[in-house]
Amino acid sequence: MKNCHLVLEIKNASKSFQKDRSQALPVLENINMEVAENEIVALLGKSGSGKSTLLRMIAGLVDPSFGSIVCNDLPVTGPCRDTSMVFQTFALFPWLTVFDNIAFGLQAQGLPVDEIERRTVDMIELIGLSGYAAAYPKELSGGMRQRIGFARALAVEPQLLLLDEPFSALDIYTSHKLRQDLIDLWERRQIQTRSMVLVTHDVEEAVALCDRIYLLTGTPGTITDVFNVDASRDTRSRESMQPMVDRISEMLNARIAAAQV
Amino acid sequence: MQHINNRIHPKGSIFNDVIVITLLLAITGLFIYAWQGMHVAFNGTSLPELSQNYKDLPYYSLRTTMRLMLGLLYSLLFSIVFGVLAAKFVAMRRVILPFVNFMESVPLVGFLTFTTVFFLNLYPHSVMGLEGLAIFAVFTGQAWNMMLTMYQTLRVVPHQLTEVTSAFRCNPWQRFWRLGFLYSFPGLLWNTMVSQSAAWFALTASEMLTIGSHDINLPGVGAWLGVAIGNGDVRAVLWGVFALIVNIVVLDQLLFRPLVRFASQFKYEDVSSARQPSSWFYDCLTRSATGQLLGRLGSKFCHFWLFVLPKAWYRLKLHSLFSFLSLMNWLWASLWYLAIVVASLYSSYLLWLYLPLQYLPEFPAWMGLTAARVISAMLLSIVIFTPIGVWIGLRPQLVRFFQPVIQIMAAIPVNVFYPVITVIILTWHQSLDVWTIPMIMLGTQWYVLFNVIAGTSMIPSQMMEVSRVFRVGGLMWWTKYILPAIFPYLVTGIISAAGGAWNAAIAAEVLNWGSVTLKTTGLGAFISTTTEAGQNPEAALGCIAMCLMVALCVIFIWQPLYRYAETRFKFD
Repeated sequence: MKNCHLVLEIKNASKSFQKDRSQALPVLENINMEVAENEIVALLGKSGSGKSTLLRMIAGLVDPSFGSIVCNDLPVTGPCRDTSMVFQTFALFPWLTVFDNIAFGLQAQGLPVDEIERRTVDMIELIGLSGYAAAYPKELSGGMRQRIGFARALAVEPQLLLLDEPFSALDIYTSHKLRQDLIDLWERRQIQTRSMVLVTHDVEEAVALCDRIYLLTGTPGTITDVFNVDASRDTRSRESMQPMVDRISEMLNARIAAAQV
Repeated sequence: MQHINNRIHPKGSIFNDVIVITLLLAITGLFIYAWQGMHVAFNGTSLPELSQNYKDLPYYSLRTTMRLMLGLLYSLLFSIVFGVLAAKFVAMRRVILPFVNFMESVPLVGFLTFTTVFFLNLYPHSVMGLEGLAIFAVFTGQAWNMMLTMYQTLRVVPHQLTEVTSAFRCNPWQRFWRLGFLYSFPGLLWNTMVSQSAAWFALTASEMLTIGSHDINLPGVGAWLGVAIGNGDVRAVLWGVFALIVNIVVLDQLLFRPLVRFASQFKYEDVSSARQPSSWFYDCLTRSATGQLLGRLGSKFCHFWLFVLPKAWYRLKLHSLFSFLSLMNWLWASLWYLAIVVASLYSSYLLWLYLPLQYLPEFPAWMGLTAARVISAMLLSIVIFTPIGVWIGLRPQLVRFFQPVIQIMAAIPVNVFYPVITVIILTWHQSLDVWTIPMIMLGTQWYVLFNVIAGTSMIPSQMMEVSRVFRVGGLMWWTKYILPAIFPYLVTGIISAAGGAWNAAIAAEVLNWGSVTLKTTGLGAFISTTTEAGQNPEAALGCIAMCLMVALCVIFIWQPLYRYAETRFKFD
């Protein structure tokens, strides 16, 4: 482990939703996980396994029923300053320009106008949206829109970036490019954010991006397996990682099959 | 349309059957009873006076409901036929759409003044003529709106679905009933429910109808209210309002809720996002043997309607004749346009001769006054009810409680509240001038509130999460997040409120309570006084001026605003 400082620590967290007055529907049980500084961690599972709910619990959008979630030594009780989120279907405001969408989080923090402007312009440059500042999200392609989503989340310089299947609404080439650009920014330390949690159902994506992969399966969802990806990112290629991808895929399929019996 | 849930729920099924059979028998019995009442002889001058005994109210409610139902049926027929014609034929569309848009802006009094004679002559020796007039009033209250919805949804049927029907070689009849109709059904139903308030307004107003000099009162709740207001009888007014509310609730529970529940299966959207609407009567029906029997009969009928009926039609070989005729479409289109132009020129000439033009110089001032009242009423409703709507809309449990309540409140016609305000004005010696604004607001506020609540609760959950993740608050939360998010709904709300607001302005500028009459100046006052006095040419002039104002508003304010809201503020 490169650094021992834990950005996120989840202990024994469970979540159940109230179906109606008498019935509760458990979705997550006994979740234990941690994310250290300089680490990208994946939550891998099929749809409906509760991985998005877990991410929302980390973001402070959903309260856990039991257990504790600690982010930067402070218990999470609501949306906090240290986390920020990128959404699956972008969640951009159609009535705001690219600039205003990216500045949204900064404006909410009540920063002075010229600082907001400076940081937003920097972020637009960095993420590769130069020249589109005055455009509306509707006028841009899916890949460009998700770049806005990333820029908005990164602009507030969160310690921990939460990614809710950010590439799954994009086609394979666009998502690959965006993924590469994100990793480049992160490796070259051009963004302040040092840790990320990625929710995905794409094994290859998880293996290509992450240091550690948590498998979330079963109903209610629990973390059944943890895989560490030790190879450094620039040595990871499609061929070299294939055995690992196969191993995780097999395990995932076996877990899903076991749950259905 | 084809399948009613055939799941069997053994628990309590006999109990369900008892409820369903009792209700069905009661409805049939009441229908026959009301039908007989509608065909009573009528000597052309006066009807037996209405009693003010509250024991007669249930019967009056029944008669009123009957009119509402028949009006609804005709509106439905109209909207299907003309919606399809407008959606399918460009030449028809170019005439139907402006015509319907114009009709939508004609105030109710305008319709009543000019169709009374026609309906009375249609059934000279029966009350059916008057009934027809009341039914027509209901029709004018909602048909235009429903037809436009039908047309709009038919135009946006997803292309892929149309391709599926072509790929499976459905004939146009099947294509319409299995795709177009079902696709537009939820929207049509929703719009019908929203239009109920206009329908009730029209119905109560037409029941208090005046022909020439003598008042003729059909038995009904509206007539009861009219008589009570004329006598200045507070107790009777309250009884009438109570009967009306009961009526609206019963219709909502027995007709609209089950239909909404039934129509929810035709919604073309992500099911998981929306909560299934519930209806106890629908549940009773599906769980009872009677309901299941009716369901099987229904699907037999659907089979006949979809597959047997078109066979008979195609055996007639008329479709080949039609396709031959359609080769000369350009000819039919030009003839059609020519006929329309000639007819409208001729009728405008006749109208010009008919109208008393000496009033014209005073009109701009009157129109300005009435418009100012209507606009300030709308602005006030927005300012007051948007925050309340947002506050409710953000709390799902409150939405569940308030939505049906507001729906019912919105269906209560504004004119029943007028006596209350009249009493307030009389007691504190206020002038009617300013007080017309809250009276118009009584009608508009529900639409604003309702749409704001709907808009707030429809904001995609990811958008809600964005605003929470970035911890937006205060002024920015309002200006950058919630107001833009609900803007399209707010515009829809104002537009649907607008039609009612103009009608309300006519009713609100002259108030009667017992022997007292309160009056202010304005176009609405002119229209109501001339109608009351039976001065038809003057009333016609007033109505045309009103139409003009409404049309100007639609063309220069509502339509641009709506388009702007649609393009800028809609979530994808």
